Amino acid sequence: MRYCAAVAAMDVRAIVLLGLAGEGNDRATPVLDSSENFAGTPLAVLPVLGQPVLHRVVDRLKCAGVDSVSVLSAARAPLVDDCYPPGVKWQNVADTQLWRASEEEFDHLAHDGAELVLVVRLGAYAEVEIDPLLQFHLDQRNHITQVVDADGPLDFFVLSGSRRNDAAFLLRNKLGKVRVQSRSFVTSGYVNRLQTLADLRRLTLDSLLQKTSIQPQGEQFRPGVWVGQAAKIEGDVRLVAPCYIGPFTRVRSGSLITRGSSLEHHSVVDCGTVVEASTLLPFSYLGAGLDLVHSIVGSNRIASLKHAAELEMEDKTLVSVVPASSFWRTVRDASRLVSFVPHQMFAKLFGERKIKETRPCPESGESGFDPRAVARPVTQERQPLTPSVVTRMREYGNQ
Amino acid sequence: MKRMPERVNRHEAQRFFADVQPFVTSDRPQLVFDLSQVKQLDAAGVEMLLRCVAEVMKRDGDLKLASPSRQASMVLELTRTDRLFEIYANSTEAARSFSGFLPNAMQSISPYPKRAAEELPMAA
Repeated sequence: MRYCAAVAAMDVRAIVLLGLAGEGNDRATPVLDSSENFAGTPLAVLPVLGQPVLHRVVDRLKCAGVDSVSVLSAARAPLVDDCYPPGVKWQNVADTQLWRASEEEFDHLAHDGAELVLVVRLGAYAEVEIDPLLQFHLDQRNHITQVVDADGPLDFFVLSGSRRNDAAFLLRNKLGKVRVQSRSFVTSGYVNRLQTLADLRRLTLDSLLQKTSIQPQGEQFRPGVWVGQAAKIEGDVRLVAPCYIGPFTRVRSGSLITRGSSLEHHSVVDCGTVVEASTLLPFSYLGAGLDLVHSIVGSNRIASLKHAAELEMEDKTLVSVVPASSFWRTVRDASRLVSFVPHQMFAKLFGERKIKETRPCPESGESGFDPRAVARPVTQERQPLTPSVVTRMREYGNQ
Repeated sequence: MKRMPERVNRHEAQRFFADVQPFVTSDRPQLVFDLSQVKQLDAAGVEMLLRCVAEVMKRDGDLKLASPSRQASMVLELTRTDRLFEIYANSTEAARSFSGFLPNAMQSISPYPKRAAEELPMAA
């Protein structure tokens, strides 16, 4: 229950729609067939500095006094466990049924006594001022009020609970048309349309630069460097602000995390790797000695913003997935240790023997220096340029 | 010029190396690998490229890469191997770069205007 400037207690509820593509696409298009997903997960469900955008939107609504939030999801891919925000009514529906289900949900809320219903499609992350928006809607006596920003309309509406026909018209037209034209509410808050992976990176960077109200989930370890709980960062790791190291993350020796990079929870960066202007999604492993620039890594995939391409990595030494269960993580670490110790022992035993063999014997009086070795041509393996070799080379060149 | 296969995993890398080995180990090899069709390149593929370039440079030759696909470029950048190769937009440019070594190189690095550079006395 919230109190508005009209000095009346109003019942405001919200419906959040997830899993259908937005402004640039046909609104019936599932997110998976558009650019608004990464590895089958909608961008709105991916974490940004420790928490998914969906959670942050729900939190903002609740902080503004919205009584209940219903999430209708048409995402076909299995969503990650931590994407379900607490205290919301979650409903999975088929993408063809999303608008019908939202209409039914609106009717249900209106029947329950909701006076105003916010309908938000994620989509865009918009820091809309909820109180002024509701006041505007009441003052203008609108049936439906749409929020717009400097770049155009957003899929963010206020609907009067008593206007079921207007709501049905709007939802049947997939938020594209209203029955009665009315003045829109212009927001001056931060808006990110989250249509591409580049938008997700921009949201991360803007949040680290405190252009948004998103607060990283963790402690500010140094100015501009946030570290989550139980993160293991080895001593010679360089963290250059702004950056975010999520909870239970492991950053191994010699790594560099810089230029607005974000390592989400349970991710692992191996030795000597540079992470620059990139995001590691939860449970991602990034191999040793790599140079990750302007990319997003997760679910065995790497998406490069520079090349506008996505690549599924089969090589587990470069990019892989960390097991979500702590038991399997322990088993994996133990198996690596078991294979590492014999390998080191073998290398040490035979490595030292090799050095001893090449050491010169002082008793023999010989220096061990072989002048013929210096005079030996470098290209010992060079094949003589016989006619057959030349012919083969020409044939090869003509292929 | 040799076109690399679509998937360069350990098995394919071994096969490809066996295929190009006679040319890599020839005298002053000048090789161009076309990466336009590469969709998957893993650590074994990158290792094979490094092995090729090491062998080629041992023999005073050079190995250049041409028209890398986006996926190949991503992996080369990720593994920091892009800086070890000369990479060209297409195979023709890469092949041409072998023939025009000295004059083109001098033009590109000369701090003087072209005419002034021509008037400079040649070193003995």
